[in-house]
Amino acid sequence: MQIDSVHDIQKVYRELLQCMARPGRIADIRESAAKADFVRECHPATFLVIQSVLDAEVTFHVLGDRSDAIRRKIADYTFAAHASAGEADYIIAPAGTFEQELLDAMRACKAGTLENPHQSATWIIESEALEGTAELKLSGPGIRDEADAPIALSEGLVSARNMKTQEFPTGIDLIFTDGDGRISCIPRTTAISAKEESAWVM
Amino acid sequence: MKAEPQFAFLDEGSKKEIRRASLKAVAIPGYQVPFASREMPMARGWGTGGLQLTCSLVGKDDVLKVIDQGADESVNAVSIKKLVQATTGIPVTERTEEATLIQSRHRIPEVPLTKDQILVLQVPMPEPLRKYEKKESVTKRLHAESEYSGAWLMLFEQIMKYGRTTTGADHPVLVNGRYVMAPSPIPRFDNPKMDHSEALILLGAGREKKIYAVPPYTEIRSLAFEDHPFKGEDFSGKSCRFCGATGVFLDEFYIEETGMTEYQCNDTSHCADRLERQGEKEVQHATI
Repeated sequence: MQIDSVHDIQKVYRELLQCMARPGRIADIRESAAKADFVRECHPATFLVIQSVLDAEVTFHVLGDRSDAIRRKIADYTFAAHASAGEADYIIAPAGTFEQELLDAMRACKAGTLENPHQSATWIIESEALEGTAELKLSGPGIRDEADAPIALSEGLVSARNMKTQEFPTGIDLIFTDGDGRISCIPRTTAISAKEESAWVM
Repeated sequence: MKAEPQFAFLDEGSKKEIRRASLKAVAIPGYQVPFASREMPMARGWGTGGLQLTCSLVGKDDVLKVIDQGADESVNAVSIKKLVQATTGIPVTERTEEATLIQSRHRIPEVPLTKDQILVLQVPMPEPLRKYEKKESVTKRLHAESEYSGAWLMLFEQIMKYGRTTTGADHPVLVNGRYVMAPSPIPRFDNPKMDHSEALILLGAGREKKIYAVPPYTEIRSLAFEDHPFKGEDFSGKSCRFCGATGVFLDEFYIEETGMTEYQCNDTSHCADRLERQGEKEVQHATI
């Protein structure tokens, strides 16, 4: 089956929008992702998210040691241009990217300015399965009280992200994808805390 | 051979650009994200911003409701519905509960919205600071610095002159404690509906080329002073002359023949719905 560039992409976008509006929400785009099974370089869900936001008007950067193949795939399908981590509008972190590379790119990427906070990098991160036990506690706009999110993020990455978003409205927005066609988002407004807040033992 | 129109009128490239702006708008609540604003088969200032948002959102499974100042049948609402329907084939509805996408001009429906709905508001003037600062470069800096004394002064001057704030509609709000935002010309009565809304609210200004958003469960505070608290329009003691509704936004009518002032629901579908239910009740009673 072929990806329907109108209707599949519309469905993916609507899920993506609702995820961005409701941080920690897990959306299922399996039905559309199944049609992208010809993509070997990255998760089908990643490919669909890329297809729904990237075109010749924006730039992207791919991390990891398989970056060349993914880069070619994205350029072929979207006509977006590759740029350095410090300039790219979208940064793609495929599964298996080393933490150090992630941290370096997160430090280097665009966070926008106070006047133009929208000129910031959006991250598309391939994560472990977005299901099961809650790893993070989220709060902020889009969340009633608190939300548990089964997104596995290392402590180092959380603190690098928090550094990047500490001066709102500047910051970065994260999109997560997994191998089973699920997506989730953490925009810059979300406060992240680890699920097991280490109980204070007297 | 007859060419099929593109689904939802806009080409996919234009949709993509609007979608990117919308995602950023949601991530930065209250911040006006610039976008290219395409030509639509409708004059700018007639809801092209809202329409572009609707076209970027709509899918085959959606049910659309369009309202213009509370009415489903007014010219603006009808022509927008016709365009979307002609290019997508999706059903339209007048019942707020049935809609998945609601595009509105100057009102938020009386029926509380749910998490499965998206409200799109048409915005003529997205910049709340424009009344006292003409330059976009300056208002952008004022937003960057969170420098909103002008907005406060405007309200202060109104109170000094008239003893109360005189913003009829479009009373400025503070979004998530950071950005002062124009809620679009909804009556003050509707401002509190934006606060911690269940539904995602997207606002589009076609002529001014801006998209902004209020995510669900986001704090929206109408600007007000401690000794002059914010007040919506007051309809206490008044009710709709047709359905008898109270606690809703009412339109005022002066009836020349009787010289009396009468009120009726501004949200026409809410009124019709109530009337229908009252009618059903009467029928049930009659059969018993």
